[in-house]
Amino acid sequence: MSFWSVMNWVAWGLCGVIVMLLSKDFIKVEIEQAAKKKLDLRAKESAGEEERANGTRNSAS
Amino acid sequence: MEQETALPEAQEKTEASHLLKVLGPMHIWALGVGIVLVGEFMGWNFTIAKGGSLGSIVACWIIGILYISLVMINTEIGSVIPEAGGQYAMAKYMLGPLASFNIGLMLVFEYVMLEAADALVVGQILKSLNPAVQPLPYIILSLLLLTYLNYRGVYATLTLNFFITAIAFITIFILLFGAGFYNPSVSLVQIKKLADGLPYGWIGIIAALQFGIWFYLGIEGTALAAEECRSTSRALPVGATVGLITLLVGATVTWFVCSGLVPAGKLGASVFPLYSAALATGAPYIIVALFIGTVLSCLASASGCINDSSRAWFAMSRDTLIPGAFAATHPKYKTPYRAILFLLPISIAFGFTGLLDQVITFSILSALLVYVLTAYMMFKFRAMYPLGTIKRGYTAPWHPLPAVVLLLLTIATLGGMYLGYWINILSGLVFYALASLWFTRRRAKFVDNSTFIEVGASSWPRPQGY
Repeated sequence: MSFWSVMNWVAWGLCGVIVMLLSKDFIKVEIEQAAKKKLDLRAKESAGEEERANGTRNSAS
Repeated sequence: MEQETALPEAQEKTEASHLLKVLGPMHIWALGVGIVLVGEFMGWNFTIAKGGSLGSIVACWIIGILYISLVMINTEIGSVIPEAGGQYAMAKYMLGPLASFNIGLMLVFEYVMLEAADALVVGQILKSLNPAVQPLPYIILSLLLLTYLNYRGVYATLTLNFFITAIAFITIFILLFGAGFYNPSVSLVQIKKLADGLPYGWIGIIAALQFGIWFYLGIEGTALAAEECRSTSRALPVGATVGLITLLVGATVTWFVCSGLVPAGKLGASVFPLYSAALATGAPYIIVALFIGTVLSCLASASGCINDSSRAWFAMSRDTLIPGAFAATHPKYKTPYRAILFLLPISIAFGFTGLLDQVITFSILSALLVYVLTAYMMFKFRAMYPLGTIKRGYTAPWHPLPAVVLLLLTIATLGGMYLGYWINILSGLVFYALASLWFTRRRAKFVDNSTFIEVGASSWPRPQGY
């Protein structure tokens, strides 16, 4: 195997490493953002419920 | 109450999709010159095949005038619109959603195609080292590496771009001084002997114009980084103007040294003209320097193209002209990471075709269409906001001369392009017409016209006539 054939495989290998690094970070960020979105939604829902409960209490008093 | 809660939410959303303000004039120079410099290492020499040696330098300077006008217009409007997207962002306020959608798409294709072409050239020049070299892994590796850098942050990417662009630029001067141009008794530059004048007359100059664009194509990309500048009104004019001067000097030196070292017939057909000129000197250190310069210029150009195309795509998405998913920024690096990754396979796909001339022609056509609309926008901008009604970071002198010159020279270049590539022009126009049809039918209904121009409308006075 010549030097250049080895270099071709090294280039393919480096491509694989970069794809792995990019996808690892991308997946991590996407999972974090999805979780954050879920939390925000839940917080909004509970705030709405609290508001509704306050409203009922005020009207009852 | 509902309004009170909706406002902070909207503000939060806008802040979340904003880019970091970290760039200075040096980065703007690196972005503009980095994208363009590759055109001095390849492509420009087809002007010699079309118009001869004299036709080539005349085309170089005529196109230089086109770009001086373009940079003047871009800098004036761009210094007022501190948003990502360059001419796209300008079109938002001057022309409306449909035109800005088209300009955004043209910018994306201009840079994605150029990026693919750069990677193709890296593969080709590495293959010239040894027949055992396979271009494909190197094409993909260079695109992946630059995408990774752009993904990780704009500051580090453009700082690196500054150094590799500067090194590539210096290699042109290594060739110039290495050829001993300053001493006629030892000089290798034989311009009187090797140049072939104006063999096809004035029509040759018109035909050469489209390749003369290679000396400067992409310098207008500086405006795409407006949102990321620490001080847009300072960084943009300084970076773009110094960049243009650098290119004018570089283009003239490139023409001079190449025309004086390589016979016109051979130079007009060369794939790497500066490298061919280096080979003609026979000096190993010059050959190595120009080999490195060619590779670095390609990498700097591809990196700048990734930066610009992703900003245009990001800005279109943020304005709901395309699906909103691409408007997200990375929580840590503050880059438009989804836009960057989405455009990567498109660029690789064009790289796979191996059709360098077709890829480049589509890129140039997209750029020329943007220039036509930019000239029109300048007239509209000055009519909407006459001098004194809005604070400008830079005021283009002699209006309307720059806009008229830009329009006329762009049309002349399109005319020259029509002589050899009329099918490409027609296909490009059909493509953009179909994209407009899709936008009008399927996408226009999602565009919220009130938020579309909210940023500008809230900070500027009401334009005249509106």
